[in-house]
Amino acid sequence: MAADTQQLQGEVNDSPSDHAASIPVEMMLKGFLAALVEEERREVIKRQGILMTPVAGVTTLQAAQNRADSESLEASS
Amino acid sequence: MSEPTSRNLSTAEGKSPLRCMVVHLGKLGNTIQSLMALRAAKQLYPDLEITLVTRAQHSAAARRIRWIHRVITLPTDALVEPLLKGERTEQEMLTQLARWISPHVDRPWDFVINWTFSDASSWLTALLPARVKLGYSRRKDGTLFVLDGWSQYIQGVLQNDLRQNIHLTDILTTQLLTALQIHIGDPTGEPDSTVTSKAFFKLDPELETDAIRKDPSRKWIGIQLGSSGEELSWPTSHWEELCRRILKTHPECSLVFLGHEGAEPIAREIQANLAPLLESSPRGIISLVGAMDFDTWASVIARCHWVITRESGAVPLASVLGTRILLISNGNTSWMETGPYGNGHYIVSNRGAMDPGMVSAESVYTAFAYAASEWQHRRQVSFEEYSDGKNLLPHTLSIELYRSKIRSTSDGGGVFYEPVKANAMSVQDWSSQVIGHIARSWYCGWTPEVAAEIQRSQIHPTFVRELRAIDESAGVMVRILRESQRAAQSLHQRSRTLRSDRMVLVHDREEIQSLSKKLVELDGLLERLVKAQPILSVFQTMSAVLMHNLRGERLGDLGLETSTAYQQLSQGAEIFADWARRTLEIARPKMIRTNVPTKTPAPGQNPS
Repeated sequence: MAADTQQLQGEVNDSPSDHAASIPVEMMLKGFLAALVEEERREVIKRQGILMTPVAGVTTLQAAQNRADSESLEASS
Repeated sequence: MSEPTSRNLSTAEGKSPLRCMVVHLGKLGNTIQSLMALRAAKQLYPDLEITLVTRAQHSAAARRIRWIHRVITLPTDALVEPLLKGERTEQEMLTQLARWISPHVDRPWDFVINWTFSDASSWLTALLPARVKLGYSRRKDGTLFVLDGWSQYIQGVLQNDLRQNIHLTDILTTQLLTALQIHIGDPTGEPDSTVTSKAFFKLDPELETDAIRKDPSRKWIGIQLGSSGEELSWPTSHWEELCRRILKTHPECSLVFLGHEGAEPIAREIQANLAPLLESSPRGIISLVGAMDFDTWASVIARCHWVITRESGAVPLASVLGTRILLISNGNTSWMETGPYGNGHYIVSNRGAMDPGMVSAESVYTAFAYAASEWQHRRQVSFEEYSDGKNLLPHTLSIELYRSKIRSTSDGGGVFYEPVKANAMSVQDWSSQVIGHIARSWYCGWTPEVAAEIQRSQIHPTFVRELRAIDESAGVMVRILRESQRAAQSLHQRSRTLRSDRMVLVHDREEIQSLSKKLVELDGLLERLVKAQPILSVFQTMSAVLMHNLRGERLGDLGLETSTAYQQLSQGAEIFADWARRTLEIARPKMIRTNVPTKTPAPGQNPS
């Protein structure tokens, strides 16, 4: 878990409320970011009129991740 | 409702503000629509301190509201684009997101209200600590959790495109005010204050264009143009013809074109084609298309007498500013939920034709002329007579025309749209009223009289035949749901005495399995019934939503909640059946007493 996420987890846990004291912050953040990306992807499709269905099994986020992964692989090799 | 707490949030001193965060990640028009509900809540509960979360690009309206304590913007572009372009890794962006959220979780909110009803907003809501939450959130396992009844209705009905007749502004207002009353108590503010106002936003008066400000004697009509590439836009030739007719017959009116830069070619084309007409009336048209920020847009609309528009952000904006609207609908009925709010707005549509081009310029003009001269004819002249008088009757035969009206509080309040033209009622029209009635019964604890707004003249023989079939099916639905309720209740009774859900005696297990199987079979029956009678699908979608949002973790608790859910559904089905019976009664021919004596022929006498 990244330092900022850890800190956020601590802040959420410390907040004295009925809010679950141990919500999995990292999972929620990942879900939030993925949903924002998906909404943006749909917006782009709507604006540009491009049909981008995940037929090939690759969504934009996955493509971005794949690219980042392959770049890091190249860097490490 | 919301978090399982009965804590009363009112403070003994009654002085400390109630911190309320409203999550609105939707578009500008949606944000403006929800501002009306927030305004009503703020008037009734002055201690509310409202913080609004919006996307940066849609925050302009909220920033112009005096009574909103703070606007927080979500930098969507900065968070998403680097990831989409492959410039940053997911981990880096998660760190950015955590930094953005961190200041907003340092102490719990009194209320977090998610009015976006979207996937992204549900994750954010889950992260925000609060004593009371409304809307979409997430469970600890990451699954979607819809926290309150009205939000479940939005998920089950509105987001499944099932027609219902409660305006979204009324849903949000009722949802929020009910939560405030439960958790804070009765309102202390002014109950009868109006929500809409020309001064709704704090705008710079200097921003209004000179042409409009210097000529207050003219009646300005805002024409909200969409760009030609937009889905279901109204044809340019239609706009042109409408403008031509208004300018010719209403010399006291000037037109102001509104819209974003994509509509500039349309505005230029209309102005060029109407140039000969404008020679005699140089101030006939001004165009602000492509040159508007929010402040200019809002201040111009506030000055206009009317705004004529397709479905757009201009509808909620003109609604909050109290400017009358003529909405050109594309034939779908989403305007029932997001259409003009307030008294005296008009909606012209061509039902069944999803192509807005099917609504002719002549019919829109006639609707405008009728609406704009209400003060003259006082609606004592029917729209048909008026159209005939203008020699435009043939153009208006295929349209439907509605006028908005706010119900009195004794009738339940809220906006409704009364038909200005006599229309035959479809089963979908009828069902939308029934579903609205059911929702009020479920979530308001108050219901209007069954079928009170149905008139006999709207009922035709085909509709009666369909209604008889619905009546029969609704009765079957009631029986299925009651039986399901009984089975779930038995499941609760049987399982609440168990020491453990995992280790049970064999005969207990068999009995529980048998009850579960029965519930599954009843669910299958419900599905088959809805396939045969799709108008009842509201019960299937709401059943799925209610079952998804059960809170219990033990079998006994789940059984009890399931039983309560089926009880709610069966009460709804009973209302559906009542409506069918009552409408059939209204449709039944009635004996009319006349003063003309009828002669009974003597036996053997020829009746003629």
